[in-house]
Amino acid sequence: MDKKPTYWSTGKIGKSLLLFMPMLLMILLMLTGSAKAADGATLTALLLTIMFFAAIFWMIIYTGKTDKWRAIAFIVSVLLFCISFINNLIAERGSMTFSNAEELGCNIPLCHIVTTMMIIPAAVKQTILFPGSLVEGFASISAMFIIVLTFSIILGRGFCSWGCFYGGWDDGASRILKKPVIKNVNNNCKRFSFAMLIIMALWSAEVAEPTYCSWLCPFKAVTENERIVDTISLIKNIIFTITFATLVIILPLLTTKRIQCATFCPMGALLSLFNKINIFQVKNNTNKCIGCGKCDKACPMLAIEKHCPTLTCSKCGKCVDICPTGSMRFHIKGTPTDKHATIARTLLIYPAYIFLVTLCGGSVIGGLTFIFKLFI
Amino acid sequence: MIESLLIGLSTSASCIASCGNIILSIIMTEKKTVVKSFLLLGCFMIGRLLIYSTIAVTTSAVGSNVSITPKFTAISLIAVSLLMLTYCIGKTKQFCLNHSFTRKIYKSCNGQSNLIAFAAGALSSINICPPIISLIASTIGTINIFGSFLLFFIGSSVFFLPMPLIGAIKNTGAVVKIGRCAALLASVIFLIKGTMIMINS
Repeated sequence: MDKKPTYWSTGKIGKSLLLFMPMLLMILLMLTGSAKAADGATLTALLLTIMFFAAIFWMIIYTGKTDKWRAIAFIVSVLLFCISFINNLIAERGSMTFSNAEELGCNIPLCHIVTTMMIIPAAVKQTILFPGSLVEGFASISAMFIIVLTFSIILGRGFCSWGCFYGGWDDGASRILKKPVIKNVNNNCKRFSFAMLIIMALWSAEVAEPTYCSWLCPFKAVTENERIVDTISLIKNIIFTITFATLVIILPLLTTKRIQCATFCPMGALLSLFNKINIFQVKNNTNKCIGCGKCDKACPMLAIEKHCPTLTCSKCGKCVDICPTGSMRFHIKGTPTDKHATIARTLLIYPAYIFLVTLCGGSVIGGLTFIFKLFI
Repeated sequence: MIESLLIGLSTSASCIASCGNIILSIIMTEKKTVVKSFLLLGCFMIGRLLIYSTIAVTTSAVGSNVSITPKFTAISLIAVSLLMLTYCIGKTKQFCLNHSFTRKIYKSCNGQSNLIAFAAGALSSINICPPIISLIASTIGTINIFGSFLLFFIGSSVFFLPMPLIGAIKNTGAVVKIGRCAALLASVIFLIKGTMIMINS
């Protein structure tokens, strides 16, 4: 068996420092902007956040393990995002639920998943199907749209593992058990998300409402949802709770796969299409592959078929870390498969990590500040 | 006459949103070439044409609005849902061959795609939707009803035309599986719609 190759910086402090320092500067640059006129709790939270993101990036560079450390940053960021988000909602409107008044006043923060349902109405009817502000306020439509579009073009479905502020929920749940209770999840299940994308986009255009968000989205249970005022809103909230419990917690726990992200999320399907145009990919060097099948079993997104990553790969790096021969690796399209492993990995990790810090850094500070204030 | 074409064009977005999921899932489920996918779309369109022309002719004969009762719409939507469900089950070989009943569905569905597309087009058109209302409004009082009606139909069908191009996608196996899932989802949505209209009526 071929020995697994290491990266240029793996286990070497000097070389790791060279790769780490620019990122440390980026983290400082991005996070310190929110520290103006801050109180003690916020400053402590800011310091901890900088240390946390810096430490995680150092470990990614120094150990050569991508997925393990990415997952820690991702899961912690997502949990703190939810705390911060709910706290913001309560501070602004006194509740994490929204009423008709908030909808009519276009005060709903935009979530990236809804963009899948806005495309057709925006293209053919010149209508924006979302009761949010176009430019003003927290998570405005234009700001979110630009962030998601930029990320999608640069990283494709890498967004699902490096930037999505919901993905950490089922990523976390899928890591609780070491061995799956339900084995052999059919890879074809991932096709369902594409069907969801098609049907939800068309259905939303027909009824002029983002139907996935209004009726099915599991993450409504942990962010904001409709205030229960009648039977319909009650049914919606029951559906949100059921989908969250089954798709985000129970099934990922039992299968060790990210079931919601891999099989149900229409945004994931749309981002898979972006995988076609962006330059970063995970590729298997078939000359070195011994066909052990570890990558197929490990992939949480059901993206590997016959030892080769497919369109739905989220570039989490789990298969790269687990591959015993190093045949599975990060790759830049147009370059030789068996060379430049460090360059390809570094060029992918840098923008991905910057996006993670940009999208979730503020929320991590917000979440930590809330926790500190709760106990102090 | 030109007005009918413009009305058709302006309402075609509604058509693609409400009926697009049906024909798209049928086209995707069939492992066919672009040309054969156009044939499927043609059958679907003929189904729509039949219902639209019936409504137009009846309107001109009666000389006033022909009302489609909500109950009638609900029944047609539930029928579309059942048709799509049967079609979806009928295309899943592995599942069908395990049961004698579903094996019959499988045998009857395969080779009958054009008929299913036609039936889906006809059933989904029995609906109180903007194109139908516009059609009725534009044909009342016109001399050349069939001309106006045909132009309206052509206008409202424009957005459907790119759909058969999905047959050009290389990985047909994956597309077929997505098509089956889409057919299943579409059938569930039409069932919910039909049931809600039935309850409210």
